[in-house]
Amino acid sequence: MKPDSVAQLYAAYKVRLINNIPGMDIIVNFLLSQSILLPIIVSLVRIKRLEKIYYPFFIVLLLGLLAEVASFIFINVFKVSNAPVIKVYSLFECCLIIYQLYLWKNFSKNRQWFMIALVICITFWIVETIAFLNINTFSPYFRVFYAFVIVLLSINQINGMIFNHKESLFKNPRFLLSLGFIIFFLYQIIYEASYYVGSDQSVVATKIIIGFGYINFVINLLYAIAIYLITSKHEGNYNHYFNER
Amino acid sequence: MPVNICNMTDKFFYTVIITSLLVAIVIIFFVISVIYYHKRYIQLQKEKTSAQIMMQEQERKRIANDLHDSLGPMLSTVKLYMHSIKVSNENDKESLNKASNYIDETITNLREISYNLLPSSLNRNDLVAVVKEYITRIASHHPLKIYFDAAEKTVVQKKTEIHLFRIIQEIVHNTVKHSGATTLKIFITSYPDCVFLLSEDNGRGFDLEAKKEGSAGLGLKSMENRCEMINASLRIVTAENEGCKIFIKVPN
Repeated sequence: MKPDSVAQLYAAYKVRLINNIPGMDIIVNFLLSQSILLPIIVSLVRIKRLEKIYYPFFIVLLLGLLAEVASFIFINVFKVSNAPVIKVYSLFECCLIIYQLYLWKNFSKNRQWFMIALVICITFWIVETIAFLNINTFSPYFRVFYAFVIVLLSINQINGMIFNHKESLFKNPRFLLSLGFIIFFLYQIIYEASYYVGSDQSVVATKIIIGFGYINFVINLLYAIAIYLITSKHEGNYNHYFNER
Repeated sequence: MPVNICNMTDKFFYTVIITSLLVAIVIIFFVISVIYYHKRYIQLQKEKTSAQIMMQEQERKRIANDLHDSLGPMLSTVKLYMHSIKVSNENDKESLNKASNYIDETITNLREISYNLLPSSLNRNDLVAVVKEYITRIASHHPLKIYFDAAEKTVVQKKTEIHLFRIIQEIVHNTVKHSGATTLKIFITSYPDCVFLLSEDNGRGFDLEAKKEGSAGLGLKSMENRCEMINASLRIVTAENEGCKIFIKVPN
């Protein structure tokens, strides 16, 4: 799910920007980031059972893996910064997750807010990346902004489910995915702030940056469980109209 | 060098402040969202209860009309035909008279059931008159003494009347069936902004919390639902061997 955490760390390590982070932690982070394969494998194994409504999320997972590979190639083969990969990936991630949340709110009257949020996010990205010619450097503003938007929309999704669902929420993939979004993107805000401050300036910032890999692993595990739940029940052709998975 | 340190401290400070602010907004949004969805949930529950009660009233109306308009005249016709039969035997005459009496009793019971299901006079008269009529009917069947009074110029909205009548029915029914009371007082009064319905009996009272939790509190639940439907506040004051007082405030 999160290619840039490791890629950024790895790139920074290569050019010796992060002196406080030991090499061992970067390797551990690299291994943890490969946990993105867990939900992807579960999805691919049961791809026929994956409902169409979850396709945007599945595409996010695939793009995450693709960005991970691209980052690795940029840094190790071309010996350049992977900032463009991260920037483009962030835009797609933002759009797809907002679209995913939009699809889940199928019967809501306030769906236009999702589209407004999407347009604002895209505008923000264009201004930050294209207008300020800032594609080759890492900057936290867009990443903090869209993380913030996704957290708010996910909270809205979860609260709606708490009051409207009769079945157990912990078996509901939408609930698990929204919970994952909240934890992950809330941490992303703190992570970007720590990165902005600089790991060499604060021990706490360094620990937060390293902790991102572990959060990433837990969230990918949660996503794998959610995808397993999405694809586990399929007794009838019309079941998906009732179980609101 | 000191300038650099100062810049660094500022950067650190502002980053922490902005991050904390964002997290605070997330928490505030969470709370607001919970309140919003809770309100909507309550509203939905209310609409659901309201729909159920309305359906119940419609169904009662239908059954009452069927009983009154269809079965009643048919029984009267049967009675008429019976009286047209000419019999010379005394035993047969007696049997016919008995059958005729049973038919009369059945018609009376039918009217009673029909009235309880839907007091048709509620369409013609105001609530106070209908309650008086209802209490007179009840008093003829039960030893319980019911005192009913209403303040002068009591005005109750037409849409609220049926619900208040049902609540009074429930109070009387509960008092007769469960309280063991010898007297029941009911009082209605209205103010420009609200209507009050008060009742008091001298029965054995009950443990309100225990009744609400158990399945035995269906009558109470029904009163609560009706109060909720008309946005009324319901207060029940009772305890073992201390009778029961019910206060209902209906906003206009």
